[in-house]
Amino acid sequence: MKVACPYCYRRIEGDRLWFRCRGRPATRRAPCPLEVDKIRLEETGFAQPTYPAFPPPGSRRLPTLVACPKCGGETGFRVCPNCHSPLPEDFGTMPSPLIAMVGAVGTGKTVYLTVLAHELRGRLRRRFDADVRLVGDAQGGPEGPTWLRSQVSTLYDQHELSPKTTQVENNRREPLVFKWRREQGARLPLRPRTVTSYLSFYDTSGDDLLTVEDVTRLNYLDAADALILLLDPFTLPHTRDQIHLPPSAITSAEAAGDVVDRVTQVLHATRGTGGSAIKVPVAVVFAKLDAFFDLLGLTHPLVDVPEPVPYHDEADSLRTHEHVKSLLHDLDTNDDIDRHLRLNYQTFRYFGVSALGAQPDYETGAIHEGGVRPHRVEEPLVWLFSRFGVVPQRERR
Amino acid sequence: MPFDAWRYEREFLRPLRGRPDQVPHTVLAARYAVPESPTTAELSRHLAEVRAYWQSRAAGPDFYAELCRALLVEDGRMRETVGDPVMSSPQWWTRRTAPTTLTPSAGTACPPPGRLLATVSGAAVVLDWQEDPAAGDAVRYCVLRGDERVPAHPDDGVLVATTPDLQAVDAHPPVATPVHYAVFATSDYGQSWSAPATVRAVVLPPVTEVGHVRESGRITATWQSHPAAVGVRVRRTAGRPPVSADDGQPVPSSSTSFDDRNIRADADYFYSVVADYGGDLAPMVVVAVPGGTAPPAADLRLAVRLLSTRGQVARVRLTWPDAGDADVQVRRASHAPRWRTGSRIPLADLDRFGEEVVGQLSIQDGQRTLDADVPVGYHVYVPFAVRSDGALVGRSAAQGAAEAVSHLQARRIGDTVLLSWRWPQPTGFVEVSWDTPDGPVSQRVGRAQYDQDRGLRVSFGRAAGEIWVRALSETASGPVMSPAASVHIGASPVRLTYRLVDRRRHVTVELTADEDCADVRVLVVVSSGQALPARPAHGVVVEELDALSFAAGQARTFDVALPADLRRPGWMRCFDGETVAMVDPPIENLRLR
Repeated sequence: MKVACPYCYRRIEGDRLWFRCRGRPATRRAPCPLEVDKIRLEETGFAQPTYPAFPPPGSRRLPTLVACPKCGGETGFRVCPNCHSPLPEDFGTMPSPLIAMVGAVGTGKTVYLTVLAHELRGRLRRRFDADVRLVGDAQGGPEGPTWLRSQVSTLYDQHELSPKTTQVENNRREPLVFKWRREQGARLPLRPRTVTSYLSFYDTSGDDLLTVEDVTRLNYLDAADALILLLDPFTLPHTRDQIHLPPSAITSAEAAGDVVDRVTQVLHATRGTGGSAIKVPVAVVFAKLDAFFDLLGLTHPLVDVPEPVPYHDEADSLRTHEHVKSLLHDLDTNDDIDRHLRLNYQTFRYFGVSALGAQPDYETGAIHEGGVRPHRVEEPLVWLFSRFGVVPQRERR
Repeated sequence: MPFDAWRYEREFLRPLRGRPDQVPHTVLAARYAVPESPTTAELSRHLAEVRAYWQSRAAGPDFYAELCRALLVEDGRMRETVGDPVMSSPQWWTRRTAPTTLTPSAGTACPPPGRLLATVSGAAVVLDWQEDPAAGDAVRYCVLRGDERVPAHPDDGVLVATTPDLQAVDAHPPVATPVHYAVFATSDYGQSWSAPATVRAVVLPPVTEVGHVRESGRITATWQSHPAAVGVRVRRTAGRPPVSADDGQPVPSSSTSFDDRNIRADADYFYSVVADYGGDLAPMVVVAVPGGTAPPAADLRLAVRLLSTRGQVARVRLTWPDAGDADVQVRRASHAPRWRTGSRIPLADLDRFGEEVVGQLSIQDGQRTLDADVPVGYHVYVPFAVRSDGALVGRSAAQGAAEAVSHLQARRIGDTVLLSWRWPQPTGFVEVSWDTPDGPVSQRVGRAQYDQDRGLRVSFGRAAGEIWVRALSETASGPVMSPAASVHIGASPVRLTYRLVDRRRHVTVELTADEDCADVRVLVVVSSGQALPARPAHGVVVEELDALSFAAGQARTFDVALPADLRRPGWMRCFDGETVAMVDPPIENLRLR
């Protein structure tokens, strides 16, 4: 199974991972020295001394333990064959999608990713009876697993929006990586089996998408198994004709369609589509939906909150898709975005979400005093999960 | 030895409670809990542990956090001026912990404070001393207590205070046993200390909260005695105060009261009440009971009403009957007084009960009304009729108020209402209530549940109404409730569902209302293209159904002809004329292929 390494974004064979020596040699053998791994340094910037990495012997199925060719000590530590970064013991054996989040400056990607990650470890975990663990968090740099905690604290405890995400430096920022485990296949006479997937999320700075050249630098776009494309409805041509917005709410001067266009160009180029439709599934997420609640009315399907069910409800998802498309048509009468998506992507679906549940004070950065009350934020993820077989899918009606 | 956080909190942080400004004046070795004779590696590890402890503790809401934040600031200053390598040197710490620092060294140590005096005041000891004129500026004092011996250096014994003042109070010394106090001076921020000034004291707390009631033929009195007292001796003199604890006639008593029925109605009596600590006697407390009958105190009855809360402040209205020539003072405390209603108490004891309630006083129709702002929480209000010879304890009233929720918002989703609000700190619960046709409903909601459910969902029903939210706050006396915040919920409109049948040349529209309704207008719209019409203007109105009436649950059907030039794929959708809420069928039912 081919999976994207969450550290170097190269696609690697799940059964051809390398190993790293543990530094415990076989009897009467000299131990391996701790040295800076030049490949890892070059690929990821990691400069701490480590024991050497080496490929598994032979071409058979990946063993669980191998002997270090230098010191003879046994090891089960797996690493990426490309960048030598450590990988979890069962990485590559199950679908482990790398999901990239893209959107223009000021769309609210970081807020959405923070809320989504929080939901993933809370409501979504309970909904699917899954065990979810954060196994990698270096969005903020090499200082350790603090980025998500800090973002959650800013939003949920301090009730403030986080500052704008800075542009990526040296073409590197590591994603949030979650380990997702749940039982599947419980139908008799089969016994349920525990399935593990690794879910990686990458938060792009909107500045990284300002030009085609910027977008091209983002390796992860090439490696991504799926995209969450966040659209700021406030930048659509007719939004301000329909709802009242304070000037400070317009945090992005860039048209949503332009960002979509640049991402598409990169995907066409890097994936060598030859002009045919791009196969990577795209969840097109209409953000800040709370601003439209009054316009849509009490009984509108996008205002409604569906019952949480332990599967992806395809009928409900299609209904959401059509209603968001209808709203998009209303606010973007030229249908630029919808037409562009139809002509360039094989699989895409619309979603309407509100990460905060109510409009923040854009001038002060304070969110509503009632706290964070996300509205349907998990739906894009559940749809993508169902496409990767991480959660089941059903037609409820 | 690993850093003992529990001991550090108990021995170093607790004595500094509420005094983070004193952190810079604490003894360095105690501040960093430096172990005895550490190696450089042990010291580095220990300092890292202490700093990690401060970091982890600094995030909390309590006084430990406040102190740890101050400690971190002071540590930052220290590291800047002294530097980490020096602080990791055992020799540097040896100079700060060894007893040699207690002896004045080569003109650098401060002279000791002079004329140290210990005065026992109730159960506390007040220490006063004088500054040595040669001490210079910026002198700080470290006051310690040794329970069995005189403290020998600033890390020896229980820290009472570190202060630049010339007085300190030991509020909780051991009782009925000799204690030793030592005061050290420093003028170089604790790098060297003076020799100590010392003094000895024995604390024998007298009885407190003495009150009495004189009724026909009897005098009763109550008081509080220290738990260490083994008994209380009471003696009575008539017409004059006692001259000593042995003066007068013994009166039988318990450890907290006496009931003297052997009296004359018009005589003035004096009672000496003395706490006995196994032979050591506390100072005598005299209860003066004038002859005659005291005015009835039961008439001094207080009523309290909560008017509002704003943040951490509650406004209350206190009312009581006019007490004639006596001034009435209302005091509040977190607990009821130990005196019985009707007790007469010394004026000096009045100030020991809570604090006086001040506000705007008005008098009308023999009633006095006091509107006052008090902190939110639970309070017992006690009226005292104050005369020159003492105060009469009136009947108390209690009122608890929590800070109210704010920013209450409601969003109706069908029959459900989604509520959100700002939680006051440190509220853990709210009570949400509303009226239904079957009677009032209330629900208690915890903060964790609110966060987990992203607000609160209430099955409110179709009708309009109010929802009230009251915060509950725990106090030492039990839960108290805030005034209600309320929000109006509009009625849910009639829901008109529909589906489309036979979607070729003609379409049959089947409409069903969930309640009886009349004068309903429905627009049937068709459109071509990819997008479902969001409003009638996005398509062509092919049928306008006016003045429709529906019986609840009964379907009505209407045939609609499709335009001959309609391009497919297309859509058909119904819109309401704002009198009902139109509910779409599944999306595939709206598609015209």
